[in-house]
Amino acid sequence: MDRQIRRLGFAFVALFAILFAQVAYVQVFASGRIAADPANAARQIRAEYSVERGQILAADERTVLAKSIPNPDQSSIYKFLRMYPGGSLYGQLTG
Amino acid sequence: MSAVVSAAAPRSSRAPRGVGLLILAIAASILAYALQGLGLHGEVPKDLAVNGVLFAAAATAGWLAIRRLAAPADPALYPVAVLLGGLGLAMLFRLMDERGRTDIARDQAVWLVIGLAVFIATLWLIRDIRQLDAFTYTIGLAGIVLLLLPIVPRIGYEINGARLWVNLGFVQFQPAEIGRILIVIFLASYLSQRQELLAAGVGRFGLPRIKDLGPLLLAWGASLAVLLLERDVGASLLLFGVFVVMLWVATGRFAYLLLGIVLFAIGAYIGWLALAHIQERVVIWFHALDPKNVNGIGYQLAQGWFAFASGGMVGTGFGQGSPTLIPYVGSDFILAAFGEELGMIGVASLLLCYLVLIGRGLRIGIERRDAFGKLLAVGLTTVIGLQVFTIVGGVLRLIPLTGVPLRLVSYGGTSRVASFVILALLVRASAGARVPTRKAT
Repeated sequence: MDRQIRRLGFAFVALFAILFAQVAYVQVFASGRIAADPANAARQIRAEYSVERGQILAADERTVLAKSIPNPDQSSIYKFLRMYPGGSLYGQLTG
Repeated sequence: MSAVVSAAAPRSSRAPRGVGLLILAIAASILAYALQGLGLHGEVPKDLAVNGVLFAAAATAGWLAIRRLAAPADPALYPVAVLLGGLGLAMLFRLMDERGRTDIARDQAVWLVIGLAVFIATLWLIRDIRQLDAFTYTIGLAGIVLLLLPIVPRIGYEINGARLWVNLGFVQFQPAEIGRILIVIFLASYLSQRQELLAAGVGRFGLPRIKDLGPLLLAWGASLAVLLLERDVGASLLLFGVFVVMLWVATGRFAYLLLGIVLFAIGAYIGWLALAHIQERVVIWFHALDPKNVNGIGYQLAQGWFAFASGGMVGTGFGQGSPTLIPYVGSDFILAAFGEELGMIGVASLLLCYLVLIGRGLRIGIERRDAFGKLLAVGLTTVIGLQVFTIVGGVLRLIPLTGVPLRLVSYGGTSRVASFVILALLVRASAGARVPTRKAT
């Protein structure tokens, strides 16, 4: 019986090796391509709002057309909000 | 040979190993609980101290029970189970917090404590694993009754297409979780008595004689009954898989394993023909990411797949991902939540924990001198191993998804308690295997 038990152990190691290989594939080797799937939009939007993007300045280099501010709502999944101080005035440029 | 050395050493020398692992497991669980609060709300949970102390106390109580009732047992089994249970709870709190249902996570914490109480009670009641060998058919009958109980009208009912629940008015549970353990005990007992008989007969082509195939065909029929009457693919697969493995280990006859695989293929085909939701599972398995399915029938599998991919190597961090996009993320898909927030490193760690449980369990099988103890350890370990592979492989899209709980980690009260019964039996079997060695030296 002990021989069978050892073989069973090897079989489980082999099964788990397949799992590890698949995890490595999904999470490392193909992760970029998979995560970029259009159907994963919810996570992509969240990722976009998780980084502080730079300001957009007018030619005078003082007037701020667009900036990121930390979201006052700490529990929100969106860490930063995009602010347009000029309102719709520069909308043609900032989009 | 190290067993001889440690057997000669004084009893207390074994204690420190287990203590270190236990402290690590408790610390990692409490840390995970703190981190999920930090990730979600930017602060550690307000009840961190209370919950931490309660968790540590419950985990220590179980460990003290082993020290008192089964001191020579394998020191690694219990801490690994505590770690899996603790990390699972932390993740459940994190997921249910985001959904505004922390009460569900709290219920699971209560179930963990009940599981530990049952663990201690099992160790206390069963002082020698061979006690269970005396009631072969009583235990087997009880196991089958529990397995088929959900079919009984009025008390059995179905959730999500599978009929595996029983409501006795005061309590609702999945009897198959407990029934499965009883069946493994029955099989260990039955096969240890018949192993020579079943192994001896050789018919044509080296195959077992027709009359020796009775038990195999009976188990196959029972698995098919579970599949067709309860529509529970996971339970059916597990029942048959464990039986075939135990039969093979008991007899050493490879032919049983081959025949088992052939019968499994036939059974799977019958299930596929008879049950629409199995056909759907197969379709989802292949086509979850097709544009027409990705927001429809493939949504859950696709979102789990994206969660793993978005997590990458190290994950987003506890509380920083979006695992709640996945339906039923707390039960079948909890590994995808770990994949998103703790990354490949987190998933690999969890899988390694299970591999440690499996390796230790099989080692108990080798350490036992009696056929019953060997088969019991192998059977219980196979239940854990096959179940983990089934759900993890399903979530990772290696095999069609079959909804079974990720033992100790995912949502499920009955499964949590049953896991601790399995653990208690393994600990007891391990303690029993190491006592005679000590006497002999």
